Amino acid sequence: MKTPRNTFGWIFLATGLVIFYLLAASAIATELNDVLHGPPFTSMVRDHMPHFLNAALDAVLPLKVQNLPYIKYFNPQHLSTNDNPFEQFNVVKWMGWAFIVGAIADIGTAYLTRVKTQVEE
Amino acid sequence: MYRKFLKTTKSLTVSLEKGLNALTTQEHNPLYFHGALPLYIFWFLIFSGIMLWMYYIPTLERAWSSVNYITSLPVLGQVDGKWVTDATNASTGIPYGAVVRGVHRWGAAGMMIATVLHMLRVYFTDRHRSWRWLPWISGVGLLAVLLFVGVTGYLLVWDNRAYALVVFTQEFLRSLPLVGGALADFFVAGGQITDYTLTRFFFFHIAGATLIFVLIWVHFIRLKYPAVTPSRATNFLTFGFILAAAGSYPAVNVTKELLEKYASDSRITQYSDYIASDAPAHIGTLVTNIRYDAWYMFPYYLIDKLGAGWAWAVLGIAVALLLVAPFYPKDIRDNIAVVTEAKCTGCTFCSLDCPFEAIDMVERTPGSKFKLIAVVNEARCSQCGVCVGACPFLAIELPNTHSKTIEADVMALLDQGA
Repeated sequence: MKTPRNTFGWIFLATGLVIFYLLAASAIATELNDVLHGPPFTSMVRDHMPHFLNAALDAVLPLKVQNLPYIKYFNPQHLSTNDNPFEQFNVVKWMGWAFIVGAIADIGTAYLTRVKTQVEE
Repeated sequence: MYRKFLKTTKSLTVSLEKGLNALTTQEHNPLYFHGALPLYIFWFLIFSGIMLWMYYIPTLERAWSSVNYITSLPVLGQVDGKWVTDATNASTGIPYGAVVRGVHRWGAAGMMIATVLHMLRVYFTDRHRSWRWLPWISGVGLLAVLLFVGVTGYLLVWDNRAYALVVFTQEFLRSLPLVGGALADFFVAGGQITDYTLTRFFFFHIAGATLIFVLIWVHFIRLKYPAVTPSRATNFLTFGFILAAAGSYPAVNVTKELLEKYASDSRITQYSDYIASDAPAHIGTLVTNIRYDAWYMFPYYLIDKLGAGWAWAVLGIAVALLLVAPFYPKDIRDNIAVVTEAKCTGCTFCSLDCPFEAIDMVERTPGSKFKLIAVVNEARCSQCGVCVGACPFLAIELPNTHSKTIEADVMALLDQGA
Protein backbone atom coordinates (compact mmCIF):
# COMPACT_ATOMS: atom_id res chain seq x y z
CA MET A 1 0.00 0.00 0.00
CA LYS A 2 1.29 3.40 -0.90
CA THR A 3 1.87 5.61 2.12
CA PRO A 4 -0.39 8.66 1.90
CA ARG A 5 1.54 11.91 2.26
CA ASN A 6 0.17 14.49 4.59
CA THR A 7 0.35 18.08 3.37
CA PHE A 8 1.63 19.21 6.75
CA GLY A 9 4.25 16.48 6.56
CA TRP A 10 5.61 17.98 3.38
CA ILE A 11 5.57 21.46 4.92
CA PHE A 12 7.36 20.11 8.00
CA LEU A 13 9.97 18.39 5.84
CA ALA A 14 10.52 21.43 3.63
CA THR A 15 10.85 23.71 6.67
CA GLY A 16 13.31 21.32 8.28
CA LEU A 17 15.40 21.11 5.13
CA VAL A 18 15.40 24.89 4.66
CA ILE A 19 16.55 25.43 8.23
CA PHE A 20 19.14 22.66 7.83
CA TYR A 21 20.63 24.13 4.68
CA LEU A 22 20.38 27.68 5.99
CA LEU A 23 22.39 26.70 9.05
CA ALA A 24 24.82 24.66 7.00
CA ALA A 25 25.23 27.42 4.42
CA SER A 26 25.81 30.06 7.11
CA ALA A 27 28.32 27.82 8.82
CA ILE A 28 30.21 27.11 5.62
CA ALA A 29 30.07 30.75 4.55
CA THR A 30 31.50 31.84 7.87
CA GLU A 31 34.24 29.30 7.63
CA LEU A 32 35.04 30.28 4.04
CA ASN A 33 35.23 33.84 5.22
CA ASP A 34 37.76 32.83 7.85
CA VAL A 35 39.73 30.67 5.52
CA LEU A 36 39.86 33.04 2.63
CA HIS A 37 40.44 36.22 4.55
CA GLY A 38 43.42 35.25 6.53
CA PRO A 39 44.73 33.47 9.57
CA PRO A 40 45.24 30.98 10.78
CA PHE A 41 44.91 28.82 7.69
CA THR A 42 45.43 30.46 4.33
CA SER A 43 46.84 33.92 4.86
CA MET A 44 50.13 32.76 3.40
CA VAL A 45 48.36 31.48 0.30
CA ARG A 46 46.46 34.76 -0.03
CA ASP A 47 49.72 36.68 0.25
CA HIS A 48 51.07 34.85 -2.79
CA MET A 49 47.94 34.96 -4.88
CA PRO A 50 47.62 37.41 -7.80
CA HIS A 51 45.90 40.67 -6.89
CA PHE A 52 42.93 40.11 -9.19
CA LEU A 53 42.12 36.77 -7.50
CA ASN A 54 42.30 38.36 -4.06
CA ALA A 55 40.07 41.18 -5.25
CA ALA A 56 37.60 38.71 -6.75
CA LEU A 57 37.44 36.71 -3.51
CA ASP A 58 36.92 39.86 -1.49
CA ALA A 59 34.15 40.88 -3.82
CA VAL A 60 32.38 37.55 -3.52
CA LEU A 61 32.75 37.24 0.23
CA PRO A 62 32.08 40.07 2.62
CA LEU A 63 35.10 41.28 4.50
CA LYS A 64 33.55 40.86 7.90
CA VAL A 65 31.47 38.04 9.30
CA GLN A 66 28.74 40.39 10.50
CA ASN A 67 28.03 41.32 6.89
CA LEU A 68 26.99 37.78 6.06
CA PRO A 69 23.26 37.43 5.47
CA TYR A 70 21.29 36.05 8.42
CA ILE A 71 24.46 35.72 10.48
CA LYS A 72 23.06 37.86 13.28
CA TYR A 73 20.39 35.22 13.93
CA PHE A 74 22.89 32.45 14.44
CA ASN A 75 25.93 34.17 15.83
CA PRO A 76 24.82 37.19 17.81
CA GLN A 77 28.36 38.11 18.78
CA HIS A 78 29.34 38.35 15.09
CA LEU A 79 32.60 36.72 15.92
CA SER A 80 34.80 34.38 13.97
CA THR A 81 38.31 33.02 14.18
CA ASN A 82 39.54 36.39 13.02
CA ASP A 83 38.00 38.19 15.96
CA ASN A 84 38.21 35.79 18.86
CA PRO A 85 39.95 32.42 18.90
CA PHE A 86 37.48 31.15 21.47
CA GLU A 87 34.71 31.40 18.89
CA GLN A 88 36.56 29.62 16.13
CA PHE A 89 34.59 26.41 16.42
CA ASN A 90 31.15 27.97 16.04
CA VAL A 91 30.99 26.41 12.60
CA VAL A 92 31.14 22.94 14.15
CA LYS A 93 28.53 23.90 16.73
CA TRP A 94 26.16 25.15 14.05
CA MET A 95 26.62 22.04 11.97
CA GLY A 96 25.73 20.00 15.05
CA TRP A 97 22.53 21.97 15.60
CA ALA A 98 21.75 21.66 11.88
CA PHE A 99 21.87 17.88 12.20
CA ILE A 100 19.62 18.02 15.27
CA VAL A 101 17.10 20.18 13.37
CA GLY A 102 17.31 17.73 10.46
CA ALA A 103 16.59 14.82 12.83
CA ILE A 104 13.60 16.62 14.33
CA ALA A 105 12.28 17.38 10.83
CA ASP A 106 12.68 13.70 9.92
CA ILE A 107 10.82 12.57 13.05
CA GLY A 108 8.13 15.21 12.45
CA THR A 109 7.62 14.00 8.90
CA ALA A 110 7.39 10.37 10.06
CA TYR A 111 4.84 11.44 12.69
CA LEU A 112 2.69 13.40 10.29
CA THR A 113 2.71 10.68 7.64
CA ARG A 114 2.26 7.69 9.95
CA VAL A 115 -0.25 5.01 8.95
CA LYS A 116 -2.54 3.58 11.60
CA THR A 117 -2.51 -0.22 11.71
CA GLN A 118 -5.88 -1.75 10.89
CA VAL A 119 -6.78 -5.38 11.33
CA GLU A 120 -9.36 -6.95 9.07
CA GLU A 121 -11.09 -10.02 10.42
CA MET B 1 8.86 -9.97 45.42
CA TYR B 2 11.84 -9.54 43.06
CA ARG B 3 9.84 -11.08 40.22
CA LYS B 4 7.06 -8.59 40.91
CA PHE B 5 9.59 -5.76 40.87
CA LEU B 6 10.83 -6.87 37.43
CA LYS B 7 7.27 -7.14 36.16
CA THR B 8 6.50 -3.61 37.35
CA THR B 9 9.66 -2.10 35.83
CA LYS B 10 8.91 -3.90 32.56
CA SER B 11 5.40 -2.54 32.48
CA LEU B 12 6.61 1.01 33.24
CA THR B 13 9.38 0.87 30.60
CA VAL B 14 7.04 -0.43 27.91
CA SER B 15 4.52 2.30 28.80
CA LEU B 16 7.26 4.91 28.47
CA GLU B 17 8.29 3.52 25.09
CA LYS B 18 4.71 3.44 23.85
CA GLY B 19 4.27 7.03 25.04
CA LEU B 20 7.32 8.10 23.08
CA ASN B 21 6.06 6.15 20.06
CA ALA B 22 3.06 8.45 19.95
CA LEU B 23 5.46 11.35 19.45
CA THR B 24 8.30 9.92 17.38
CA THR B 25 6.62 6.90 15.71
CA GLN B 26 8.11 3.43 16.13
CA GLU B 27 10.47 4.04 13.23
CA HIS B 28 12.41 6.76 15.03
CA ASN B 29 11.93 6.00 18.72
CA PRO B 30 15.48 6.38 20.12
CA LEU B 31 14.63 3.89 22.89
CA TYR B 32 14.39 1.15 20.26
CA PHE B 33 18.02 1.78 19.25
CA HIS B 34 19.46 1.76 22.76
CA GLY B 35 21.77 -1.12 21.84
CA ALA B 36 22.87 0.29 18.48
CA LEU B 37 23.72 3.74 19.84
CA PRO B 38 26.86 2.80 21.83
CA LEU B 39 28.21 0.98 18.75
CA TYR B 40 27.37 3.95 16.52
CA ILE B 41 29.18 6.35 18.88
CA PHE B 42 32.09 3.92 19.08
CA TRP B 43 32.82 4.57 15.38
CA PHE B 44 33.26 8.27 16.14
CA LEU B 45 35.72 7.35 18.88
CA ILE B 46 37.66 5.06 16.53
CA PHE B 47 38.00 7.66 13.78
CA SER B 48 38.75 10.62 16.06
CA GLY B 49 41.17 8.41 18.03
CA ILE B 50 43.09 7.49 14.88
CA MET B 51 43.43 11.18 14.04
CA LEU B 52 44.71 11.99 17.53
CA TRP B 53 47.11 9.05 17.29
CA MET B 54 48.81 10.77 14.32
CA TYR B 55 50.16 13.47 16.65
CA TYR B 56 50.34 11.85 20.06
CA ILE B 57 53.81 11.06 21.50
CA PRO B 58 53.72 8.59 24.42
CA THR B 59 56.73 9.74 26.45
CA LEU B 60 56.90 11.46 29.82
CA GLU B 61 58.46 14.56 28.32
CA ARG B 62 56.35 14.88 25.18
CA ALA B 63 52.91 13.41 26.02
CA TRP B 64 51.41 16.58 27.50
CA SER B 65 53.03 18.89 24.95
CA SER B 66 51.89 16.72 22.02
CA VAL B 67 48.30 16.87 23.31
CA ASN B 68 48.76 20.58 23.82
CA TYR B 69 50.02 20.92 20.26
CA ILE B 70 46.92 19.15 18.96
CA THR B 71 44.43 21.25 20.88
CA SER B 72 45.73 24.66 21.88
CA LEU B 73 44.07 27.70 20.36
CA PRO B 74 46.01 29.93 18.00
CA VAL B 75 47.12 33.24 19.44
CA LEU B 76 46.30 36.04 17.07
CA GLY B 77 47.74 39.47 16.64
CA GLN B 78 47.36 42.37 14.25
CA VAL B 79 50.16 43.35 11.88
CA ASP B 80 49.52 46.31 9.57
CA GLY B 81 45.83 46.06 10.25
CA LYS B 82 45.64 42.40 9.27
CA TRP B 83 45.03 39.51 11.69
CA VAL B 84 47.88 37.02 11.66
CA THR B 85 48.89 34.01 13.73
CA ASP B 86 51.36 34.95 16.41
CA ALA B 87 54.57 33.33 15.19
CA THR B 88 56.19 33.72 18.60
CA ASN B 89 53.71 31.30 20.12
CA ALA B 90 55.24 27.87 19.61
CA SER B 91 52.25 26.00 20.98
CA THR B 92 49.83 27.07 18.26
CA GLY B 93 47.76 24.01 17.51
CA ILE B 94 46.70 22.17 14.40
CA PRO B 95 43.43 23.25 12.72
CA TYR B 96 40.38 21.73 14.36
CA GLY B 97 42.54 19.57 16.63
CA ALA B 98 40.50 20.73 19.61
CA VAL B 99 37.31 19.69 17.85
CA VAL B 100 38.69 16.24 17.02
CA ARG B 101 39.69 15.80 20.64
CA GLY B 102 36.32 17.25 21.64
CA VAL B 103 34.53 14.61 19.54
CA HIS B 104 36.70 11.96 21.24
CA ARG B 105 35.97 13.35 24.68
CA TRP B 106 32.21 13.98 24.30
CA GLY B 107 31.82 10.80 22.26
CA ALA B 108 33.39 8.84 25.11
CA ALA B 109 30.94 10.37 27.59
CA GLY B 110 28.08 9.68 25.14
CA MET B 111 29.11 6.06 24.70
CA MET B 112 29.18 5.46 28.44
CA ILE B 113 25.78 7.15 28.90
CA ALA B 114 24.29 5.16 25.98
CA THR B 115 25.78 1.92 27.34
CA VAL B 116 24.39 2.47 30.85
CA LEU B 117 20.96 3.38 29.44
CA HIS B 118 21.07 0.25 27.27
CA MET B 119 21.89 -1.88 30.30
CA LEU B 120 19.13 -0.30 32.39
CA ARG B 121 16.59 -0.77 29.62
CA VAL B 122 17.51 -4.43 29.19
CA TYR B 123 17.33 -4.95 32.96
CA PHE B 124 14.06 -3.07 33.45
CA THR B 125 12.36 -4.96 30.64
CA ASP B 126 13.55 -8.25 32.15
CA ARG B 127 15.49 -9.20 29.03
CA HIS B 128 18.65 -10.20 30.81
CA ARG B 129 17.72 -13.53 32.36
CA SER B 130 17.74 -17.20 31.48
CA TRP B 131 18.68 -17.92 27.83
CA ARG B 132 19.88 -14.32 27.48
CA TRP B 133 22.71 -14.80 29.99
CA LEU B 134 25.49 -14.62 27.37
CA PRO B 135 24.61 -11.17 25.96
CA TRP B 136 24.21 -9.90 29.54
CA ILE B 137 27.50 -11.31 30.86
CA SER B 138 29.41 -10.14 27.76
CA GLY B 139 27.70 -6.76 28.24
CA VAL B 140 29.04 -6.55 31.80
CA GLY B 141 32.48 -7.33 30.33
CA LEU B 142 31.99 -4.60 27.73
CA LEU B 143 31.07 -2.10 30.42
CA ALA B 144 34.21 -2.96 32.42
CA VAL B 145 36.48 -2.73 29.36
CA LEU B 146 34.85 0.55 28.29
CA LEU B 147 35.54 1.97 31.75
CA PHE B 148 39.14 0.81 31.58
CA VAL B 149 39.68 2.25 28.08
CA GLY B 150 38.11 5.55 29.16
CA VAL B 151 40.34 5.83 32.24
CA THR B 152 43.50 5.04 30.26
CA GLY B 153 42.46 7.82 27.87
CA TYR B 154 42.65 10.27 30.76
CA LEU B 155 46.09 8.95 31.69
CA LEU B 156 47.49 9.55 28.20
CA VAL B 157 47.20 13.33 28.61
CA TRP B 158 49.80 13.04 31.37
CA ASP B 159 48.69 16.07 33.35
CA ASN B 160 48.42 16.46 37.13
CA ARG B 161 45.16 14.58 37.15
CA ALA B 162 46.62 11.67 35.17
CA TYR B 163 49.49 11.37 37.65
CA ALA B 164 47.09 11.39 40.60
CA LEU B 165 45.00 8.68 38.94
CA VAL B 166 48.12 6.55 38.42
CA VAL B 167 49.01 6.89 42.12
CA PHE B 168 45.44 5.96 43.12
CA THR B 169 45.44 2.97 40.77
CA GLN B 170 48.73 1.68 42.16
CA GLU B 171 47.43 2.09 45.71
CA PHE B 172 44.22 0.32 44.70
CA LEU B 173 46.08 -2.61 43.10
CA ARG B 174 48.68 -2.92 45.87
CA SER B 175 45.93 -3.38 48.45
CA LEU B 176 45.19 -6.77 46.87
CA PRO B 177 46.88 -9.62 48.74
CA LEU B 178 49.55 -11.75 47.02
CA VAL B 179 49.30 -10.39 43.45
CA GLY B 180 48.74 -6.70 44.29
CA GLY B 181 52.38 -5.59 44.01
CA ALA B 182 52.95 -7.44 40.74
CA LEU B 183 49.76 -5.98 39.26
CA ALA B 184 50.75 -2.44 40.30
CA ASP B 185 54.16 -2.87 38.68
CA PHE B 186 52.59 -4.35 35.54
CA PHE B 187 50.26 -1.36 35.35
CA VAL B 188 53.11 1.17 35.13
CA ALA B 189 55.46 -1.18 33.25
CA GLY B 190 58.06 -1.57 35.99
CA GLY B 191 58.74 -0.54 39.54
CA GLN B 192 58.69 3.16 38.72
CA ILE B 193 57.15 5.58 36.25
CA THR B 194 59.21 5.85 33.06
CA ASP B 195 58.63 6.45 29.36
CA TYR B 196 57.51 2.82 29.16
CA THR B 197 54.64 3.71 31.49
CA LEU B 198 53.09 5.98 28.84
CA THR B 199 53.69 3.32 26.18
CA ARG B 200 51.93 0.81 28.45
CA PHE B 201 48.93 3.15 28.91
CA PHE B 202 48.81 3.71 25.16
CA PHE B 203 48.80 -0.07 24.66
CA PHE B 204 46.00 -0.45 27.24
CA HIS B 205 43.96 2.21 25.45
CA ILE B 206 44.30 0.76 21.93
CA ALA B 207 44.20 -2.92 22.95
CA GLY B 208 41.15 -2.21 25.13
CA ALA B 209 39.36 -0.60 22.17
CA THR B 210 40.17 -3.68 20.08
CA LEU B 211 38.88 -5.94 22.84
CA ILE B 212 35.60 -4.01 22.72
CA PHE B 213 35.16 -5.17 19.12
CA VAL B 214 35.76 -8.80 20.14
CA LEU B 215 33.30 -8.55 23.03
CA ILE B 216 30.70 -6.94 20.75
CA TRP B 217 30.97 -10.03 18.54
CA VAL B 218 30.35 -12.27 21.58
CA HIS B 219 27.51 -9.93 22.59
CA PHE B 220 25.78 -10.49 19.22
CA ILE B 221 26.61 -14.15 18.69
CA ARG B 222 23.24 -15.48 19.87
CA LEU B 223 21.14 -12.78 18.29
CA LYS B 224 19.82 -13.46 14.82
CA TYR B 225 18.99 -9.89 13.87
CA PRO B 226 20.83 -7.50 16.21
CA ALA B 227 19.95 -3.84 15.62
CA VAL B 228 23.39 -2.40 14.87
CA THR B 229 22.34 0.79 13.07
CA PRO B 230 20.08 3.43 14.57
CA SER B 231 17.40 5.04 12.42
CA ARG B 232 18.37 8.00 10.24
CA ALA B 233 16.84 10.52 12.64
CA THR B 234 18.57 8.90 15.63
CA ASN B 235 21.85 8.98 13.69
CA PHE B 236 21.42 12.66 12.95
CA LEU B 237 20.41 13.42 16.52
CA THR B 238 23.44 11.64 18.00
CA PHE B 239 25.87 13.03 15.45
CA GLY B 240 24.37 16.50 15.94
CA PHE B 241 24.73 16.42 19.71
CA ILE B 242 28.35 15.25 19.49
CA LEU B 243 29.21 17.98 16.97
CA ALA B 244 27.35 20.65 18.93
CA ALA B 245 29.13 19.61 22.15
CA ALA B 246 32.54 19.48 20.43
CA GLY B 247 31.94 22.87 18.82
CA SER B 248 30.58 24.53 21.95
CA TYR B 249 33.04 22.95 24.38
CA PRO B 250 36.04 21.76 22.36
CA ALA B 251 38.77 20.02 24.34
CA VAL B 252 41.08 22.99 24.47
CA ASN B 253 44.30 23.55 26.29
CA VAL B 254 44.25 27.23 27.11
CA THR B 255 47.85 28.28 26.99
CA LYS B 256 49.62 30.79 29.18
CA GLU B 257 50.15 33.02 26.16
CA LEU B 258 46.47 33.02 25.34
CA LEU B 259 45.44 33.81 28.90
CA GLU B 260 47.95 36.68 29.03
CA LYS B 261 46.76 38.05 25.72
CA TYR B 262 43.11 38.07 26.78
CA ALA B 263 43.73 38.83 30.46
CA SER B 264 41.41 41.83 30.42
CA ASP B 265 38.67 39.94 28.66
CA SER B 266 35.82 38.87 30.93
CA ARG B 267 35.11 35.96 28.58
CA ILE B 268 38.21 34.19 29.86
CA THR B 269 36.34 33.26 33.04
CA GLN B 270 33.48 32.00 30.93
CA TYR B 271 35.83 29.89 28.85
CA SER B 272 37.54 28.27 31.81
CA ASP B 273 35.15 25.37 31.20
CA TYR B 274 37.02 24.72 27.98
CA ILE B 275 40.15 23.62 29.78
CA ALA B 276 40.36 19.89 29.17
CA SER B 277 43.72 19.21 30.76
CA ASP B 278 45.53 20.32 33.88
CA ALA B 279 49.15 21.46 34.04
CA PRO B 280 51.81 18.92 33.00
CA ALA B 281 52.41 16.15 35.54
CA HIS B 282 55.37 16.37 37.92
CA ILE B 283 56.32 13.01 39.34
CA GLY B 284 56.31 13.23 43.12
CA THR B 285 53.91 16.20 43.23
CA LEU B 286 50.44 14.88 43.91
CA VAL B 287 47.54 17.26 43.28
CA THR B 288 44.72 16.62 45.71
CA ASN B 289 41.79 18.54 44.18
CA ILE B 290 41.15 16.31 41.16
CA ARG B 291 38.31 17.11 38.77
CA TYR B 292 36.38 13.84 38.72
CA ASP B 293 34.59 12.87 35.54
CA ALA B 294 31.21 11.41 36.52
CA TRP B 295 31.15 8.72 33.82
CA TYR B 296 34.62 7.24 34.02
CA MET B 297 36.19 8.24 37.32
CA PHE B 298 33.65 7.07 39.87
CA PRO B 299 35.96 4.19 40.98
CA TYR B 300 38.64 6.78 41.77
CA TYR B 301 36.13 8.85 43.70
CA LEU B 302 35.44 5.73 45.78
CA ILE B 303 39.16 5.07 46.30
CA ASP B 304 39.69 8.69 47.30
CA LYS B 305 36.77 8.86 49.72
CA LEU B 306 36.58 5.29 51.10
CA GLY B 307 40.10 3.99 50.73
CA ALA B 308 41.30 1.09 48.59
CA GLY B 309 39.83 -1.70 50.75
CA TRP B 310 36.27 -0.39 50.84
CA ALA B 311 36.47 0.57 47.16
CA TRP B 312 37.31 -3.07 46.34
CA ALA B 313 34.36 -4.18 48.46
CA VAL B 314 31.84 -1.81 46.84
CA LEU B 315 33.01 -2.48 43.27
CA GLY B 316 33.29 -6.24 43.91
CA ILE B 317 29.71 -6.46 45.26
CA ALA B 318 28.43 -4.38 42.31
CA VAL B 319 30.15 -6.67 39.77
CA ALA B 320 28.98 -9.81 41.60
CA LEU B 321 25.36 -8.59 41.54
CA LEU B 322 25.62 -7.86 37.82
CA LEU B 323 27.06 -11.31 37.13
CA VAL B 324 24.42 -13.12 39.20
CA ALA B 325 21.49 -11.11 37.78
CA PRO B 326 20.73 -13.33 34.72
CA PHE B 327 20.51 -16.50 36.84
CA TYR B 328 18.03 -15.35 39.43
CA PRO B 329 15.11 -15.90 39.74
CA LYS B 330 14.95 -19.08 37.69
CA ASP B 331 11.92 -19.46 35.41
CA ILE B 332 10.04 -22.68 34.90
CA ARG B 333 10.90 -23.70 31.36
CA ASP B 334 8.09 -26.09 30.49
CA ASN B 335 7.15 -24.71 27.10
CA ILE B 336 10.23 -25.36 24.95
CA ALA B 337 9.39 -25.71 21.25
CA VAL B 338 8.98 -29.29 20.07
CA VAL B 339 9.38 -30.50 16.49
CA THR B 340 7.10 -33.21 15.12
CA GLU B 341 9.50 -35.22 13.05
CA ALA B 342 6.89 -36.68 10.69
CA LYS B 343 5.60 -33.24 9.72
CA CYS B 344 8.91 -31.36 9.38
CA THR B 345 9.89 -30.88 5.70
CA GLY B 346 13.21 -29.15 6.44
CA CYS B 347 12.05 -25.90 4.84
CA THR B 348 14.25 -23.87 7.32
CA PHE B 349 11.55 -21.18 7.88
CA CYS B 350 11.55 -21.69 11.66
CA SER B 351 15.35 -21.58 11.83
CA LEU B 352 15.48 -18.37 9.79
CA ASP B 353 12.81 -16.67 11.89
CA CYS B 354 14.08 -17.69 15.34
CA PRO B 355 15.48 -14.48 16.92
CA PHE B 356 17.86 -16.37 19.21
CA GLU B 357 19.53 -18.89 16.88
CA ALA B 358 17.85 -21.67 18.87
CA ILE B 359 16.90 -23.88 15.91
CA ASP B 360 19.53 -25.76 13.92
CA MET B 361 18.81 -27.50 10.66
CA VAL B 362 20.52 -30.90 10.67
CA GLU B 363 20.67 -33.61 8.02
CA ARG B 364 18.25 -36.51 8.30
CA THR B 365 19.35 -40.07 7.99
CA PRO B 366 19.92 -41.27 4.39
CA GLY B 367 16.79 -42.52 2.69
CA SER B 368 14.46 -40.07 4.46
CA LYS B 369 11.81 -38.26 2.41
CA PHE B 370 13.24 -34.86 3.35
CA LYS B 371 16.86 -33.83 3.54
CA LEU B 372 16.83 -31.67 6.74
CA ILE B 373 15.05 -31.56 10.06
CA ALA B 374 14.74 -28.75 12.61
CA VAL B 375 16.35 -29.39 16.00
CA VAL B 376 15.61 -27.09 18.92
CA ASN B 377 18.52 -26.07 21.18
CA GLU B 378 16.67 -26.10 24.49
CA ALA B 379 19.10 -23.85 26.33
CA ARG B 380 18.55 -21.05 23.82
CA CYS B 381 14.79 -21.41 23.29
CA SER B 382 12.87 -18.44 24.66
CA GLN B 383 9.47 -20.13 24.30
CA CYS B 384 8.36 -17.13 22.25
CA GLY B 385 6.45 -19.07 19.59
CA VAL B 386 7.88 -17.24 16.57
CA CYS B 387 8.79 -20.63 15.06
CA VAL B 388 5.20 -21.81 15.47
CA GLY B 389 4.01 -18.91 13.35
CA ALA B 390 6.78 -19.49 10.81
CA CYS B 391 6.01 -23.15 10.15
CA PRO B 392 3.52 -23.70 7.28
CA PHE B 393 3.21 -27.42 8.11
CA LEU B 394 2.28 -27.18 11.83
CA ALA B 395 5.42 -29.22 12.52
CA ILE B 396 6.64 -27.20 15.50
CA GLU B 397 4.59 -26.42 18.57
CA LEU B 398 4.92 -25.07 22.08
CA PRO B 399 3.62 -28.04 24.10
CA ASN B 400 1.64 -25.91 26.55
CA THR B 401 0.43 -23.26 24.11
CA HIS B 402 -1.60 -24.16 21.06
CA SER B 403 -0.88 -22.26 17.85
CA LYS B 404 -4.47 -21.00 17.81
CA THR B 405 -3.87 -19.39 21.22
CA ILE B 406 -0.78 -17.57 19.93
CA GLU B 407 -2.73 -16.38 16.89
CA ALA B 408 -5.52 -15.11 19.13
CA ASP B 409 -2.95 -13.28 21.32
CA VAL B 410 -1.39 -11.62 18.27
CA MET B 411 -4.76 -10.51 16.95
CA ALA B 412 -5.70 -9.12 20.36
CA LEU B 413 -2.47 -7.12 20.51
CA LEU B 414 -3.04 -5.79 16.98
CA ASP B 415 -6.54 -4.74 17.97
CA GLN B 416 -5.01 -2.75 20.82
CA GLY B 417 -2.75 -1.03 18.32
CA ALA B 418 0.41 -2.47 19.86
